[in-house]
Amino acid sequence: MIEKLKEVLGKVLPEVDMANVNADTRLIEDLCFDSLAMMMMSMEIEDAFGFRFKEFVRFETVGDVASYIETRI
Amino acid sequence: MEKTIKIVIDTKGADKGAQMMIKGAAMALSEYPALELCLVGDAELIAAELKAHNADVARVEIIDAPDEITNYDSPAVAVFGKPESSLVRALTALSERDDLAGLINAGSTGALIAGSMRYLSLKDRVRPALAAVLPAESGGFTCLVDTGATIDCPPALLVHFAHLGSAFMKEYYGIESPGVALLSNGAEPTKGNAAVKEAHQLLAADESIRFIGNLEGNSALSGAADVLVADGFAGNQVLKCSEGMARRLITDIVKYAKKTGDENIMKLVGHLMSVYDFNSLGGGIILGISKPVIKAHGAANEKTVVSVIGMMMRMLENKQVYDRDSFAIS
Repeated sequence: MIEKLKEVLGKVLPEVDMANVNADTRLIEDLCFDSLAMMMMSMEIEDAFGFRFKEFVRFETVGDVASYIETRI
Repeated sequence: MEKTIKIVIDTKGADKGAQMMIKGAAMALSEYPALELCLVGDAELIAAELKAHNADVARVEIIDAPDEITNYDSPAVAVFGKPESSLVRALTALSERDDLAGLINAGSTGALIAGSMRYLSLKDRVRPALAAVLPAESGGFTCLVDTGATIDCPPALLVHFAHLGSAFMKEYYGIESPGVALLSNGAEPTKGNAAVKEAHQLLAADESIRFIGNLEGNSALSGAADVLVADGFAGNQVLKCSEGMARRLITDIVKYAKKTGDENIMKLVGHLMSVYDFNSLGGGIILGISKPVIKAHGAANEKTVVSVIGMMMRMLENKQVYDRDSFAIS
């Protein structure tokens, strides 16, 4: 899951090396996410994992995102 | 018969209210014979206001939207959570229908950018930017990108903005090979903060755009560049300082004209207002999406609405030529 999610994150942040990203990586503090990046990530997740977000979710860590996806697929 | 262009207008969200937006739309119908409109908002109010302004209702479609996204809403949360808002209904219609060419809105900028990204993403999704097309001393235009959508930009994002601006000026302003400059505090490649210096190297090595080097703020309106790239913080400062300086100069000239009673100076003021007043200029454009979306100034009046619709019409007419020529070449 985390590896597939890192592919998604790579599309949102092409300038960031995903090698060091793990479940504890914080989206805002470590990856400099802003609301546009969060939104873009949500849409890339929808495409990659085949579901639609019913509401906008503010995730804290990469692990939080992975856990949420697991509840939806 | 002249080909018509149908534009969507979100009537809600402007500081001066929906009546002002609808009045501006009615005025634009008189000004532009090729214009058709799709007005989104309170359907009863729209119908009543159109009637009050003797608008040509045969050229207007109305989409009812009971809800509104305001500046107090969190943009992304509202885009997901307010499906009956005028903005979401407007964007949905624009994304689903080929007959609708573009959207104008004077409400929350954040919601408009977030919503445009949600509903009008390109096939290969990219991060959008907010640009302004500024009148240049040369008589042409300069596309300043970004003007506030992304405050902190790594070098790669500045390069991305250069590509967005270049593609936009090619497609909507008919410039075959737009000259792209990078906003900095000096012309030399060694000037600028770390991100600007690295972006300069990346742009200089990028053969897919015509990079002409750094440009300082005092040349932003000279016309030296067709596209001026900046992070959203610096770009916003250039835009707001230019607006403030224009207002200050015009105010001083008006004071002088009143003191001297010189009518020629008042004529000059009229000319300057037509070029530099934001009500005459149009609005910000969202780049990196599939159809043109213009954000009118929040404090827009009905004249601004007419100007913004005019700007959209000219852009779409240029695009028709661009599409035709591209097709002919291919």
